[in-house]
Amino acid sequence: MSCEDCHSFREDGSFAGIPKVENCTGCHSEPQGKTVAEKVLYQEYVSKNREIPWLVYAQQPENVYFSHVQHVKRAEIACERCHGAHGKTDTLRPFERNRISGYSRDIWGRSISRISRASWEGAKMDDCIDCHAERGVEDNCLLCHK
Amino acid sequence: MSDIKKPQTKPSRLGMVIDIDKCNGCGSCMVACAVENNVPPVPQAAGERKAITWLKVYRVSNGQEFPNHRTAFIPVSCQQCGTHTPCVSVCPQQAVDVDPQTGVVGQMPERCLGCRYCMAACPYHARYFNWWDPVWPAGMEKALNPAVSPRMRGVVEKCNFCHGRYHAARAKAAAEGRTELAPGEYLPACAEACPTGAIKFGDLADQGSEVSQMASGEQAFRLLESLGTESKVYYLTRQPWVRQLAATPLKNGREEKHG
Amino acid sequence: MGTMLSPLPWKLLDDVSIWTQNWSWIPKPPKGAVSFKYTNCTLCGSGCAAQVRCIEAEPVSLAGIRSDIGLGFLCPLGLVAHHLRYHPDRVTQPLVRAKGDELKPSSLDDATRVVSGKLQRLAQQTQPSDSYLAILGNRPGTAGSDALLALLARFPHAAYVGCPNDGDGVSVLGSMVEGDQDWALDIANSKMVLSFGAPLLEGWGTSGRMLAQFASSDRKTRLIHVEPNCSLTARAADVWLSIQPGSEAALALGLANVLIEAKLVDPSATCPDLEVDSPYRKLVAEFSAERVAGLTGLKPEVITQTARAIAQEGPALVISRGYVSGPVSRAEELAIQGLNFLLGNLDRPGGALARPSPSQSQVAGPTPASQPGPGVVRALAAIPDGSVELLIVDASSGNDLPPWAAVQPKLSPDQAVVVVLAGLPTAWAQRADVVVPSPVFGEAIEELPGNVDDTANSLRLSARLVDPRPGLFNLLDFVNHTAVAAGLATSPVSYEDAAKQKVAAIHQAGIGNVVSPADGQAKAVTDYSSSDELWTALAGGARWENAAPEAIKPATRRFSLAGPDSGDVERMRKAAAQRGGLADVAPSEYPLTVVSAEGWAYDSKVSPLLAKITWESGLHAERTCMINPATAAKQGVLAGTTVTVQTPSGSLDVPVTLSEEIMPGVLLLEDPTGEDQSGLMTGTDATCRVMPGRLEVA
Repeated sequence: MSCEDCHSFREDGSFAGIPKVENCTGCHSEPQGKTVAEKVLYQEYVSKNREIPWLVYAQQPENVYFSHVQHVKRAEIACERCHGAHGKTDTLRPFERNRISGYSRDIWGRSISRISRASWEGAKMDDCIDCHAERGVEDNCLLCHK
Repeated sequence: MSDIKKPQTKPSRLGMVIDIDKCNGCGSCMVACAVENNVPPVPQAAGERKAITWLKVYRVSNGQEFPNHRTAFIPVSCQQCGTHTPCVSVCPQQAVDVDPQTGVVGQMPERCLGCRYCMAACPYHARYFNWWDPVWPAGMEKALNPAVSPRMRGVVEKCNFCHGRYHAARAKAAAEGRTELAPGEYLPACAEACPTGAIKFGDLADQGSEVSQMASGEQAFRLLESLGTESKVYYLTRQPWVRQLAATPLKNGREEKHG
Repeated sequence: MGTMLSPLPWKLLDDVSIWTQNWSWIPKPPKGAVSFKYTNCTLCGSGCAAQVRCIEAEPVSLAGIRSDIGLGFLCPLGLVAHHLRYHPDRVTQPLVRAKGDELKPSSLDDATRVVSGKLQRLAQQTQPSDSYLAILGNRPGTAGSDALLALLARFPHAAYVGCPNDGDGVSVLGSMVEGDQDWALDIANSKMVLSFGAPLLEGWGTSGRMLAQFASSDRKTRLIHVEPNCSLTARAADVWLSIQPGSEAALALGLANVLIEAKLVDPSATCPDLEVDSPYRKLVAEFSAERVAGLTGLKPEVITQTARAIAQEGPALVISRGYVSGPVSRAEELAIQGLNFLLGNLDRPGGALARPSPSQSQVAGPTPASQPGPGVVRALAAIPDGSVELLIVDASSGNDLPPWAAVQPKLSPDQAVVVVLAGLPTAWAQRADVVVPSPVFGEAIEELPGNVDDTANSLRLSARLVDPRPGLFNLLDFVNHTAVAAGLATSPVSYEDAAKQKVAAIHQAGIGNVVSPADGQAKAVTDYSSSDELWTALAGGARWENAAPEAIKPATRRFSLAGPDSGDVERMRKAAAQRGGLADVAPSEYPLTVVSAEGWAYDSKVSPLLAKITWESGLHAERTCMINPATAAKQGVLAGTTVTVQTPSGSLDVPVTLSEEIMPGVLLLEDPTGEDQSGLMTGTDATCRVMPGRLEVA
């Protein structure tokens, strides 16, 4: 499966983000395998038609506008570059919330000094600006803020 | 990085041409702007000075008595100054900047610390301060526009030529594999709402566009032109008294009602 | 010191600054997929087409549709229509008033009991009792109103009075010729328009089309506008005739006089049945340009020039205000519409065109079973005073209703029960004995009749955009519900089913086109395979139209003023000579003239964002009395002072705004007969737009 099978783009270029449970039900209307995780998915969410309360690693503040279509379709950046090899793992890394800022630890990155990080460790504004500067792309404020 | 594609969008100079003779003061532009940008309502007891109207239609008159009295309506939003942007030069926080790509003067309320220096600097009184947190009637928050984030108290806001719509238009173009926006693909809410076509929007740098042709016509002028702000909002009128009024600060209305 | 060199304090600072940006008390607009729905606005009679931008299922903004006949206009009210359902003062449950008490929340059963009891009594009454059931309906000419008329036919005494609208003047025109037709004004094709106060640029007819046609100075249609004050329409007109208030009838007769005397028209051709010595001709002869100059304040040569212009540069289509702020004065309307006859404006493009009325039309007409009964009275004036025991008022949408002061004399002094259907607590709702909650914009399907300037037969629906809360009723469904409870009906046709039947009739007749709001493309009705498919298109905001309905066009038209006087000519004489009754009044007692505003009337209570164009900017005045500065100085009144405006029929406390657009000696009131309900503007001859007045500092 590719990332876009569930995290799809709409016709107007907007990003569907984390899909609703009906997306999962599309395949998992009946249990497909034997894992515990799928059993929980089916029992707690699909059968009750209840939305999964996802915790989002990449959650940005309300005033941030990030356009996935510009980065994926136009700049052709691979999903892994910012999100890590998410889809190839069997389990997800734990979601750790920064107690002060309220966002995921992944936004600052695991390394407090921010030295020698992988490309997906860190989603602060500085990281976006750095990448834009390297590639010589527009970096005007209102491009990414709303 | 050499394998990363870098398709560049051509720079533009987004501007507006407003035909004063066509404006009939209906106010649709003002309300459309408020709906699009989640502009908060303001407590009535505070009065007009503390109101927030990103786009404000001013009623001006020729100063004559009945029956020779005539009014004109002049919609004024941020004039998107060009060369010398007073607000950008005074902001201690760099909470406002000029986009080299489009020429739009973008206000970032999230960076603003609320000193209101920019409000004093703006010769057009086009900037508004959030004296209060926004309060919407219960349930109406669900009907807010997600393309524009609401502001807290203590920050200044102003017209950004509907950046929410700009984002959406560029996203759509990218989804269709284009780097350029087609003319008319992106329209601020005021231009879309105007029933008489008084507000026209487009790329002033594009010689063939309607706005660039209108802006270089004889009837075109800008407000307070002598200040040299090189604003990108042009006005048209055939009435000499309106043109004269626009050259100088107004004696009543604007100066009296704003701090 | 070492800590400063570590990342710790910097990250702490960064985290804290991010924390300060988490404005948790600021609403975060819900995110989701953007979709577009289409509908037509219900907030006034114009019914402008709107594209609704929705996030998931929630409407977040509206915009006009350029391909529609309204050319993409949405007034400020329409732009915030989606806010209505969140109005903090929304009526959410029935309210019932016990005698002498105040309105208290109640239950549907209670409300039903009160109303059905009355219905039973009224249905079963025998002679000589003549107690009336009266309904003030909001949208006559729709399937719902036709079904209502059929129900009313079962009552010995019943009245159905439609809401006043811009086309009321044209209804008077219709009453001046034979036949049961609707008349429409083909303004789009007129070379010239003579407007007697019609606020063409301030929300009249199909507002967007009027704005597009008249707002620009390089327009194809010349506009002569007659109005005392310099309104937005007067300002835009090619010629503005500032007459004394109340002298419209005099000017109309004066123009008729010049048209005939100067042989600018040939009455034998345009009004062949108008005899030379008829009372109407004699009346016209009495109002020479000189006499009319004295009555109107215009110079005689201006009157002559205007007559010349309307005959030779047009001929001009003559338009009156219709109802905007008060019931139509019939005498004044007759004088104005008489000009249309003399100019030969009937049955020609650019003039007044007859459309088959719904009862005659082969499509979009009621089925035979729902024909209106002959005994149902249709005019407020025809209801005997003190006879109405049950009054049901549809205050659910934005249309104006007759002023309370005009309706109240019709109510039985001790037996009357007033039922009001409303979504918001309007002034009418305050007067009610029973208030029933009704749906607001977007919550229910509503059929919208065509406007006075729409020469096509058309049908539009306002769509259901959101799920409504339970317990909301529209007029027909509530009357049906109570009629069933009273045992007067078993399974009546619901509002939506009545509309579906109408659409099915259109589908069966196979006439007309459906214009899609998404792309402006027209599709013939015959291309829809079933009436359900047609219904789905219309319920999705599309517009059905039969652009060239078979017009009723007899060889000659009999002109009601042609022969002996039935009283109309005498009434016209009085109205013209006495400036609508103003000349009767002693100037020492009432030195000023009160007129009501005809233009945009925005109520910032409808949505918090409407305040942007009222008090937040000062663009439009709200609840104010506008007065010329010279007059204000003479009266000793400053801007912002609250004054008491008094007329012979009522008084009102209101703040003052100074404006050089107002004629000296005139007080302009914003919507005095609507929400204020002050009875200020109730005059004789149902003239509620011009009254003698005085003011005192409150």
